[in-house]
Amino acid sequence: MGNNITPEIELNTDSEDRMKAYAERLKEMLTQKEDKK
Amino acid sequence: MDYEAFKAEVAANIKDYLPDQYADSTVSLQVVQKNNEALDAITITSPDSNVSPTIYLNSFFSDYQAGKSMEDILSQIADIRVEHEVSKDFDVSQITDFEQVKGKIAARVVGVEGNEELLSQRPHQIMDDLAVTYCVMLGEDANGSMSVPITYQLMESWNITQPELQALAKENLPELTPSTFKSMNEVMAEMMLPQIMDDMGVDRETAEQMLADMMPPEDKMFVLSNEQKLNGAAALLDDKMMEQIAERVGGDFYILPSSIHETLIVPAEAGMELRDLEAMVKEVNETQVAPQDRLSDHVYQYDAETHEVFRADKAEEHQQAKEVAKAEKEQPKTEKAQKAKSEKEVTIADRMKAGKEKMNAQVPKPKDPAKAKETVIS
Repeated sequence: MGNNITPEIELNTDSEDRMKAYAERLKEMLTQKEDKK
Repeated sequence: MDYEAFKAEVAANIKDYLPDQYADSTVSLQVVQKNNEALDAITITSPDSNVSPTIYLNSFFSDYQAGKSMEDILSQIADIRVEHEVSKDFDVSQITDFEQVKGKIAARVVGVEGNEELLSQRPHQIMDDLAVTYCVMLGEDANGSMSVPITYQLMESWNITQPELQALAKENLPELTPSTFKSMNEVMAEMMLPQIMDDMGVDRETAEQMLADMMPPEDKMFVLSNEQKLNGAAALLDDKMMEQIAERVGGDFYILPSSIHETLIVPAEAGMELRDLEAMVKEVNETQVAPQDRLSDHVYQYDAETHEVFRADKAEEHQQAKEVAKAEKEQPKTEKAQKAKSEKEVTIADRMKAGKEKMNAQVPKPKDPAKAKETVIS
């Protein structure tokens, strides 16, 4: 193989939006489940 | 300015923002195949260096569209390049010499769909619609990490195989990318509490209460990732962690592929409908997750009894395979018992007929024990 090595720099990503979306939706689903009981 | 003009502007002016030592560097733009999409990258290579970090431009264009000035963007790219300068005497053998890199091999998990081209270049292990790929970790700081993806070419130069890469990546995981498992509430508190306190002008206690009101119960959703919070879906390969999670949540659990950086754990005992969880993943992927972070639309499940991860919509197939494996495991025992019984009968008859010595000569070797159970990821 050749000698050209290209490391990748990966910057930290922001996960807040998707975490928040999951938390809200799961809470909603659990509430609906409780209401059905 | 459109994206093409933006890239050209960055390439044309980046050297003005770099220290003098980069005056003779070569600036080039290239397209690099990443998770789910091809990204535009810039490399700034010094004439006497054989190593140059790749910096992706796509997110900087989003910053530009959001109003960030070109000057600020160019300064930021220049800072990243300088911070990740690889020493000019960087020893290329650090990558090409397997003995030097084997302790730095890490796993990454990506979705199969949309990554066909990337996977055609890299050794990988398929886990249904997920694939494990590998990289050499070169270093990390507070902003991110630097690594070299392992291609077939690199693997072959080391004269090793994909299963060996998989074994090494799993072995290195606790040291290189320690897994983390936290409740969703804890993760959200880390991210949002200071912001809530600032925005709402409330004290910590009030902010915690406001956050708790937004969250599902503490024991219903967890986040599995790694300390770096980068490529944390690979924590699924941490067998010990998976067993600990099963103990903590009381048995089987669902795995929501929220991104390549983390997965979410929902205990099976929470009683959620699979179709609801799948609809949630699909919707959040479409609306909240950038293509380069997206992992899969399919929910997975962990079987606490067999320690297997499988796609939750294939639970029936998993159950059948589990029963077959169980039957196969039981079968040799039954056969062995029958064999022993018939041997005993033969032995008595022989002893009666021909005496003890002849009987001993006829005793066959016992059958081999059941085959060791293979790890199955379906």
